[in-house]
Amino acid sequence: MDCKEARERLTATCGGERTSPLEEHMERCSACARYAARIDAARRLLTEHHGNVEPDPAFAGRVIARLPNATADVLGWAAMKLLPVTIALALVLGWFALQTAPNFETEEPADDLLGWVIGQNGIES
Amino acid sequence: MSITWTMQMPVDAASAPVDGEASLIAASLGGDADAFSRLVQLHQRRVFRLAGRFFRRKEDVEDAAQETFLTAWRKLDTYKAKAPFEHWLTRVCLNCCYEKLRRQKVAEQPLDGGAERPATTADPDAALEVEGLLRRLPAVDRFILLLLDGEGWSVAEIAERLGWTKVNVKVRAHRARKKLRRALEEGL
Repeated sequence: MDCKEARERLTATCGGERTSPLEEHMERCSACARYAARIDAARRLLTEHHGNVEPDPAFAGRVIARLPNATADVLGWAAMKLLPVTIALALVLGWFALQTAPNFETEEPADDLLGWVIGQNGIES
Repeated sequence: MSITWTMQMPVDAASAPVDGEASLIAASLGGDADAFSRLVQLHQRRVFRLAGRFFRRKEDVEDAAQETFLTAWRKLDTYKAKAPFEHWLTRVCLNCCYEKLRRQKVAEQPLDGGAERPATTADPDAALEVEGLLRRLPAVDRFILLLLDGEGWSVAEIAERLGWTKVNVKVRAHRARKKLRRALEEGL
């Protein structure tokens, strides 16, 4: 077994089981033995590597608080449901506003503006 | 190059079928945040465990886990209930971790965050040296090596859980091993 084959085998198993020819080669080749030590370390890092972070009890609450536009969705749904009512209300209010608006065309102010204003307010001088 | 794949499925409490999960999913689809909160509680440990495989810092794990559940909420209508929900969520989590890794610069995300370093049984100097070499690997290569050697998943499992083809996984794994070898041969 040469170095090329030895390293291919070591890499393929990432530090896993080693055959006798591979072990024999490493006894003779210090560079491959060092490579084997490195691949063993890499395997340990890959397998031992773990954040070991546990979710705390408030985690779900934090997720729910970040739900995209959860409130906006609810409001949007409500707005769609209430749209006909909103339109009807706007029409009624508009009609009412037109009926109660002062009629400037028929009640032109007098030349004496102050007297006209006082007259509009029902104040007798 | 021959590649040896190990088969070692991690199993935890969240793997067991959960009564009422389907109704929680249905309610969540209807916008019920309380039902979704319950779903989060059912699967959060599994998601944290998986995200913790790729990130060491607590903030990064939490961020990846939150992103997983937020994505799940947004895309819940794509879950067709043909496979267990946890499989679908695992895929969402893996994709979130993958994207997060890709966004981070290589130097910003060491395999070991320092403060929460696990006890290494072998030569600590060799571990540090190798950690430095592994850190130089692109995120996608570390990602695939962590799934293969860290999680012990097979090519088929990775393909299924990520939605990649088996050929794609094999090609990526082959490239990752090649780069790993090149990195570890440095200075020998």
